Amino acid sequence: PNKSAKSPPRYCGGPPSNRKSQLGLALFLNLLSRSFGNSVHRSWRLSDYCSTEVGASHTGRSHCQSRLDIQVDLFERLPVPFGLVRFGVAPDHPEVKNVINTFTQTALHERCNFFGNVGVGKDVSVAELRQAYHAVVLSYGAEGNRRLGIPGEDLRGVYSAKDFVGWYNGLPGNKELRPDLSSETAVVLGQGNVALDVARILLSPLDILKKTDITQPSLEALAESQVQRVLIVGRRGPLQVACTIKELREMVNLPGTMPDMVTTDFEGVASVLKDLSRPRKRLTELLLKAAQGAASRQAGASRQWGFHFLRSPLEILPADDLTSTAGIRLAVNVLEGSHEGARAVPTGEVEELKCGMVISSIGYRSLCIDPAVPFDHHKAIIPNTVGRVQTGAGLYCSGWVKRGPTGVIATTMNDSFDTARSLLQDIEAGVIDVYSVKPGSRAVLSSLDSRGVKWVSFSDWEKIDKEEVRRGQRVGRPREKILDVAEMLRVAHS
Amino acid sequence: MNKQYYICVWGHCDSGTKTLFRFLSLKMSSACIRRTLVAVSQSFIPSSCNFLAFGLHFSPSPAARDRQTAYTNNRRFSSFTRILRSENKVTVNFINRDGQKITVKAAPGDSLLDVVIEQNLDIDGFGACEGTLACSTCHLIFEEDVYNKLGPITDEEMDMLDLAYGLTDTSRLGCQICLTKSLEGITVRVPDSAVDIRQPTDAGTSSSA
Repeated sequence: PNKSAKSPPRYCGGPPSNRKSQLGLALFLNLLSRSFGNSVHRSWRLSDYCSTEVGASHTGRSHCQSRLDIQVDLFERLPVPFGLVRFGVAPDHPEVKNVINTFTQTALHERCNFFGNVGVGKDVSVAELRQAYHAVVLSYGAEGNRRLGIPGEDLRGVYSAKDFVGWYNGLPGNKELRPDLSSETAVVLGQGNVALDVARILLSPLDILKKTDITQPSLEALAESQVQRVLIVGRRGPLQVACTIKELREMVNLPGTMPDMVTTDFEGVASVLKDLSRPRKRLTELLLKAAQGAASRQAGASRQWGFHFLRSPLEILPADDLTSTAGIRLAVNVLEGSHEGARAVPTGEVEELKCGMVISSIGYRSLCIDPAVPFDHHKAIIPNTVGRVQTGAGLYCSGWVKRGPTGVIATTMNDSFDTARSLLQDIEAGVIDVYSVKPGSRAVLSSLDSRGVKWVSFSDWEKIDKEEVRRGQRVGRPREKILDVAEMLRVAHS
Repeated sequence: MNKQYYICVWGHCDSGTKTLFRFLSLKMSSACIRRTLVAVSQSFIPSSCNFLAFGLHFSPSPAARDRQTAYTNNRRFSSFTRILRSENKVTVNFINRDGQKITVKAAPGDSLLDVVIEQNLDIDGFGACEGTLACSTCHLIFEEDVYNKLGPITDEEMDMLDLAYGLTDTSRLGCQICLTKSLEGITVRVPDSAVDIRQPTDAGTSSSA
């Protein structure tokens, strides 16, 4: 049974008695009582306070966690929560997904409700949410993709990393991707952690992938894959790679593979090592070691990977059939400036590489989901000041849609704490009128029901979860993800 | 037929032994072999040394979330040892982000992450990955003389520490530091987790139109 949407006014005084000694609630405490003391507590008795979150990934969750005395409703487009923790984190990184336990604890809180399968901007508008709630926080991330903007981008064999990752992670919209894994060489454009994830999944031995929650169709496709070599191409040099050392180390240690790089790309790097910060220094040392072949060659290493520096994509070249990919034409660059601020400048020289697949990993992009919300199309974020959106009180944003699509889970989690702080400051300052009575989810759900939208509660998600784990156990894997929204709904409402 | 392997570790129940156990657990985890912790025995020797023996029993089998199992087993084990030496507590002081000092007593063998969780300390966002070296949210700053006394730092810990905001020369991850009597009375500082409030284009990401 679903929890009731509205809770009666609480008496807030004294220590929170419902604090369990579990990871979720223990760690994310009553920010308000610590920062602002009793003065704000008194106001809670005067009205119900309802707040809503759009987007039930780790950003949305962290808001719930920061403030225990507020009713928080989360609206999520898919029937399943957790966003990128489920669909972005690589299948061979299960420990990174541990944070799901923390978020589950929050979702199970009596003053937190999850409503899945509700598309904000489609099934319900932001304006309706603002009428129903005291505050609305938009944390719907970046589901779009930065385009290369070059000829040949729409050939068969060219994919965005977002779609490729979505494919092997079971994002329903990428179910039909069917990437072409029939050629020997794949080129990945971009040198961040997502690019390394893609390279690693393409080259990982099947024995490793078999034990993860990668989707069954992807596993079967990768079992037939002919890809033996992955080139990870970036516009700038070794000192500017955006990936981090853990992911690079995993590539270096990947069984059955060996690094294959051009050592001339590393000229001058060794001499600046001592001036670098420790994280950049360690990363660069490992990269240098891999390039110089000092990293031990793996026995029986038949697959290769390598960074290819100072190259920008100009055109993707079609095969004779004019529909599939045969190669890529790259501009050769030189660096102006140094370290993080260095710029890639084309020399006029051009290089062509033969390859059958190009995966573009140059960044995600937020989309505008509701025209009533201001949106900066150039930066692809919602314009804001520390999370406050400029159109009147009570509208906030958080996470990638606020700052841009970079950062690890911890970065985004801390960012959401910042937005929560802004929200709480606004309550304290009276910018949000907590004395007005708002209907909360009652109003939204009745609109959804009249529009025939079948929303999914958190306990419905738990049914989906159990079913996925059950199916996974049958084949010795952590879970077998359901790839189809209709089937998710069937299981959820069974 | 499943082969079974035993590794027995015998040593002081201090950070060195615990680090070795964690190292073995993590390495076994990365080879995807399920472990079952078998506590063999614990004996006290009449001096200030306490010896601890535990065995790791492996059988190759498909497993998921080995690190989760390792952490859970590790914590059950530390509860077991805690019962046996409840009088040997270590005092630890935490300076929180708002400057507030929190003083607690905890059992030797517990990691600083264990302490924060079990004592329900008011530190936002601490320990997101539950001690599996997949995040940097248990980042703590030590005093220099204490830092020099701590056990060795693995590459894996340093890799994650490199991502921590406000990294210092005396920073460690709390999930990797186990308490011993020699750490009695230490003070650790919880670093700020403030996010850079510049425009979204960070240093290190491509800056193009």
